[in-house]
Amino acid sequence: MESDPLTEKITVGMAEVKICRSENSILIALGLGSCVGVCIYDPVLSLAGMAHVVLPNRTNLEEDDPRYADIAVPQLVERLQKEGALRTRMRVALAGGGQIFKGFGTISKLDIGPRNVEAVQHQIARFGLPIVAADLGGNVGRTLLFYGDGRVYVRLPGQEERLLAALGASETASPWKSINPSSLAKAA
Amino acid sequence: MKTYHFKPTLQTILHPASLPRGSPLYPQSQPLIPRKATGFWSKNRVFPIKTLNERAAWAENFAEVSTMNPACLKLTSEQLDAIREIANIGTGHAATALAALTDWRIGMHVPRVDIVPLSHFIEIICGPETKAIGIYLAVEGDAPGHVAFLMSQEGAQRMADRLLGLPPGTTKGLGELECSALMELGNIIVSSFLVAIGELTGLTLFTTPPALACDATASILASLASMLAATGTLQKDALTIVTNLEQGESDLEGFFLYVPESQSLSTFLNALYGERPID
Repeated sequence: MESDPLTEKITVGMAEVKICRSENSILIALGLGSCVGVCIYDPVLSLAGMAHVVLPNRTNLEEDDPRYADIAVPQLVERLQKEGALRTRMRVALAGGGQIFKGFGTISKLDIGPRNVEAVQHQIARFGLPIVAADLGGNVGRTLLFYGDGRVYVRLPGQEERLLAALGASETASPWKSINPSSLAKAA
Repeated sequence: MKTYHFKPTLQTILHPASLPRGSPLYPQSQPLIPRKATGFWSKNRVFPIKTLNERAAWAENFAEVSTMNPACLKLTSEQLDAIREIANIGTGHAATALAALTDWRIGMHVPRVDIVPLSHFIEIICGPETKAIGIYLAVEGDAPGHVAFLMSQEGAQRMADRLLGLPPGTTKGLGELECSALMELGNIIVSSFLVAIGELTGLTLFTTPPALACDATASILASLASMLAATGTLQKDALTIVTNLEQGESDLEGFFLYVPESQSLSTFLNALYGERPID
């Protein structure tokens, strides 16, 4: 699939929020260590958006950088709404929030992962969006691939990518939109 | 082995004034590759170069200091040179310690100084999906900062064999003993790095206990970046100094990454230049 020349790869770097409307695009977040990748999908418009959250809630209210969960998630939702997505149709998948450095003893700098997860889940709950699937925590780094048709894959280092969720394939999708049969097969 | 940016060529031997302007030997007033267009951190950059060694060599060929994002850290090239020299001396001592510890010949490249925004932090070392180990130590004292030492997983296994006195190829995975040995290695080389810098500048520097990660390079760098962001080092951009260390005979290589906190830069410069204010 990755060798398909029609597929456009969009890298979502740390503290970036990106959306794409094309079914032939992939949003990729490389190296989700303690960061959390937030995927939101509107199946009717096949509109995909991803935020790469680096830190939990901001401490200084003047900050407006999307590295913080409480800025990135609202910003992502707002940008999707601007494109016509509805909050009632949005479906969410999360991945990341691990803790890959170990042996640090009691220094609390390293527990950013769990704090990120908590902050992101709180923000998602604030908007009342359903979390369809999540792959969080642990001590591994993940690569998150979000296809334009709603499939979300997670890849662990040295392993094949694994389907986490098919956000597009569901009964909430409108009947006149053809659903890619391969994504259904993978979801089953 | 030491590599230099500056290769004396015919152009530098001949005096520029003696050459006609159209001559091919006339010194180029502009570099052949415009820096902006080929910058490391330009948005549409792809990874044209695969291995870590090639990447480092490529970087050194055309840019000593790639300050693609001049918005934040404002340092003159003289000041950047001073910072690089500090890193050079420190890493030289770290490489010596590594060589003494492993009884290997260790080669060292010239440190590469980059000013990197958060979104591109994971690109400072290429091969994002390569499995690697990273040893992280925070620097505390007069000039706080962060140091990490990264090497490929095969490299780490060979290093563990060496440190534990086993025949090469014995270690297959990194267990508790191997990780502990590698963390101690990190501790020793970073301590020699800091001692050298401390003697040079007269500052007191010490480290926290090491932490180890064994994962894809991108994940390790991303975790480092979030720690840097959490401690406030990486506000908008961070000045990163990457030095490529390699074993003389083989392709084993490691990356020594040093990220001083932004207020530490002026501490260093003040210590070097006396109390002359930094403009």
